[in-house]
Amino acid sequence: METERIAEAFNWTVVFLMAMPYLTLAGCLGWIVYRYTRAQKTREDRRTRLHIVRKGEC
Amino acid sequence: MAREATAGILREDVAEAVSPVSAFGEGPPPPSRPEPVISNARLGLMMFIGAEVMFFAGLIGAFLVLRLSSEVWPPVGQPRLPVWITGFNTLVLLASGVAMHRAWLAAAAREQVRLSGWLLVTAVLGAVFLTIQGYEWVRLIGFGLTMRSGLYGSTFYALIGLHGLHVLGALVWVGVVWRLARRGRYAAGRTVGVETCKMYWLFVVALWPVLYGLVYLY
Repeated sequence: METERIAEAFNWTVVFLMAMPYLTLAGCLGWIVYRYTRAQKTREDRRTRLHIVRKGEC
Repeated sequence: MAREATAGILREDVAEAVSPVSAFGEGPPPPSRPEPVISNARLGLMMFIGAEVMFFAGLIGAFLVLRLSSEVWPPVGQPRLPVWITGFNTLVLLASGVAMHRAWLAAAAREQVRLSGWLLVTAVLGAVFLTIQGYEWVRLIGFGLTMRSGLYGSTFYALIGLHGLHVLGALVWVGVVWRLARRGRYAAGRTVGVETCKMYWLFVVALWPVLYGLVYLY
């Protein structure tokens, strides 16, 4: 019974430790994709505003 | 008239985004590299935080082995951890995370007074968290829970102590950013310094509820 408990503890810990690098990587990549998408949108907005300014000068 | 006014307002915004030469077509645009979407500082810090997550994952793994393999937790003869006062402390740290976010919003809006004010609130709340933690540690040591009192004590102090050290390091960083903010370093809209500090602070804040749930409640 005691051995089973220790074995189960090790099994769950191994699962946790195996999953963590992938979760960390997924989190970092998700953050980068989010930032990239947001930055692209901001650049598009700036371009649109620049276009309006040039039209206003004409 | 309204059109001219609109154009005037927009011109100010655009002048920040692009150089005057390239914006208004007075000569060829200078050869310049486009600004990276994510700055090197943010990317580097993200990698560092990833390494920190793995570091704490290793410690949590060690704790999980001990916790799951024990029938009785805490072990017989060891003191129980102060759940309520640490729960209050968790709220203090979460509030400091909110204050740090407000500081970053103030930095983005170029409001220097609000920025330094919220940074100060963050630092004070972080210091309160560390003080309460230190007080509880002194009490626990008085009850006989030390690094050498067994696996329970050593895992507790390793996990919670290392988190405390990270909070201390982040607190020093917040102090440096606060001082720079008071000198007007971020007045020109360069908020990378504040944002990287915010990222690290939010990391130590977000880590704490996980550790609290695992070590104090589970």
